[in-house]
Amino acid sequence: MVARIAGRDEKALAELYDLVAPRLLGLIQRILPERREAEEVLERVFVRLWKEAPELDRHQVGASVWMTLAARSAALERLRALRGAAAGSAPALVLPSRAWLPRRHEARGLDERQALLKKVLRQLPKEQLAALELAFFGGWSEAELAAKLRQPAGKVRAELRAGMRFLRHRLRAVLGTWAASL
Amino acid sequence: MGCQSLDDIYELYLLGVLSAEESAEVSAHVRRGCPYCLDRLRESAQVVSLVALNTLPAPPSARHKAALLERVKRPKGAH
Ligand SMILES: [Zn+2]
Repeated sequence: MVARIAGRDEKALAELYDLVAPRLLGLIQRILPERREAEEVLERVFVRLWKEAPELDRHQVGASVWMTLAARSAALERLRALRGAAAGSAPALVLPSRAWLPRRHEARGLDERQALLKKVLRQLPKEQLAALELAFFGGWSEAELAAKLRQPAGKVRAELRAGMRFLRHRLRAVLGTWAASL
Repeated sequence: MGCQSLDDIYELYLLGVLSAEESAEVSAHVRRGCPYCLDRLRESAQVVSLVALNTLPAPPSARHKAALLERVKRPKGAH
């Protein structure tokens, strides 16, 4: 898909849009509830994909994880512009290359196991999920999360770490199952 | 900072919850490009993206897709 989009295939972009736009808009609206704002951010994400597709394709980056992370950061950026410093102020990431982005086969593995992974997320202990969601959708730094949750920073980090570790181990198990069933 | 000591940090790094100083330290390490850390980062990006699964899809308005496709078709600089 990314390869076709890199080849300036508008039909491929339209197909990907049909596949992922509703999910991405749902994600963006968790950060920016106002519909018009959210749709503008969604457009920005697809335009960015269109521009960066050749480079993403060179690194064999899969579309879905890249788009999820790009939609999140574009929405948080807009939220910050709208609210000034009051919005979450976690530092923006500046990573030099694309080598850290999940590859096509990795993104596909995730897409194919989406229903199962949704269940995994619901198995997270409530406090861990709450901390992760506040960080993911609010863009708050650890210190800000501690203030919001009225907990010591050390406890917040412990929740976030434990939550991520849980998800990581489950993801490994789920993708391992997927690889073994090929 | 050693690779193993960062094992549990990469998800928090991509999530953006670390302090600016801590985040800069991780970035400096990542720039060295060790294969182990790049693997961990690729995995962390997947792990972090899972948090987004807990949202309801919201279909965009009908004209949104048409406007997007119009926009990418337009040559650079045109209105
Ligand atoms: Zn390393």
